[in-house]
Amino acid sequence: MLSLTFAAFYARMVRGNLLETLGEDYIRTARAKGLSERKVIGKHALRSSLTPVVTIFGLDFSLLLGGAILTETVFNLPGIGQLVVSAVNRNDIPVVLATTVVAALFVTTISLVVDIFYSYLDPRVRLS
Amino acid sequence: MAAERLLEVKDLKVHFNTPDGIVRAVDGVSFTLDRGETLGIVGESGSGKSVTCLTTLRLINLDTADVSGQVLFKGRDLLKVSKEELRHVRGKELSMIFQDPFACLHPYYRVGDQIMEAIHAHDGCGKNEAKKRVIELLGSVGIPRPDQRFADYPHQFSGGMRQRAMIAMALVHNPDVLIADEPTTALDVTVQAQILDLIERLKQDFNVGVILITHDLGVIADVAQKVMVMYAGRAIELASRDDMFAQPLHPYTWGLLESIPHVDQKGTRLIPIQGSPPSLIRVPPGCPFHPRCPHRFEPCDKDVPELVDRGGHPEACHLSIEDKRRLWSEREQLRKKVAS
Repeated sequence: MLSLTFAAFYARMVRGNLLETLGEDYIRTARAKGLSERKVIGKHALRSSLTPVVTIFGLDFSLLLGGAILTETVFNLPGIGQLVVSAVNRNDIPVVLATTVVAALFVTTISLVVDIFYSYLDPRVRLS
Repeated sequence: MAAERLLEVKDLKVHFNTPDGIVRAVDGVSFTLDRGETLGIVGESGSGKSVTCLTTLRLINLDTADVSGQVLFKGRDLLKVSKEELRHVRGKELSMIFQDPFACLHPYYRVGDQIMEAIHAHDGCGKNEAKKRVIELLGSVGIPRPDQRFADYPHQFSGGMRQRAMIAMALVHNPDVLIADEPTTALDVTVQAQILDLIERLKQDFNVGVILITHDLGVIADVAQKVMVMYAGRAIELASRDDMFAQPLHPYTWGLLESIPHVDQKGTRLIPIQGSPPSLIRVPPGCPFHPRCPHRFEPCDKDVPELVDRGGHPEACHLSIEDKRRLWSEREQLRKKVAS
């Protein structure tokens, strides 16, 4: 649900990156090899234009979590956001602490996953 | 026996529409290429060499460019054939090596896989067979331990090795024509010589026609049989290599030749061509070279000189052939005097 607001933004970003990548020299090489346009774009261009998207996604994820507090409260949806709000209202410190730790864990895990995925996307990034 | 005519470019014009005006990148260029022949295209930066060659493979964006003329490849006009037909020519019958090997390989894919992809673009052979062929090719272009190098990424290759990989990629289907767009400019001199040797060897082994774009006349003297000199998007002189170096006819070619350093002219200064190449948006009227030409006279800033055949040696200049012979020998004598 929440991610829908981001989807349009991502679509635009992929489009922009894709257009930029299509001007790269290695795209010309791919065309000169005689690859079909579908392969040139789907394989060669898309992959390089995805790297920045993955990076941004890692950063956006924490925003998404923060946004969850608002949306879940406003629309009365059950979830970690509402849990935090009700715990704060009840002065329930241990629950606030726990959710914060869980949220922090989430964010760090996601950024770790993003980093690993990044090195998979771009072999020049070494894991060491 | 006449060699097979592979490529015939007729009156090629490529104009780009930009907010500043029309860029006449290529303005009426014609040339031919036969099997087993090397055509060298020389000229300063921005003289239209690269655009000419990119257009022959239709690698420029036809939406933003105005292209006219013909590119006849074995009788077919590559500017008119369908996209699918063009795809079958690219990389299979007509391949290209680009200027900058650092930017021309996809950084995210293994070198071997990228070459394999070139095989599979035109050949449905199995993975193992393709891999075997790639390793063989990598070995034949002089990459040591090709079976291990197969799995490397471009960033693990040096510049010379990347260019070798590019050459291997261009050769996977034994093309009839190989276009090399300044294949050695990004490389240092020793590697440059190796790459040129490699192209020369492959030309003999596979009997291809080669178009070599360069701004290095030394390279031309080494490998080309025919030379085309370009200036401001036009061919201004076309000759066999021997004629070009022994009896060049165009003042611009003279300038190019005189700006090469010679070992026997130790201690003297090089003679550069005055000024810089014209903007392709506002090409000077008349002969495009006249503002920089030391021998200009009346018609030069009014009439565009046509390419006139002077005994199998076409060139575009208003000077008469007698004047040219005289002026060139005067310049040669002057150089000898300065040198001694």
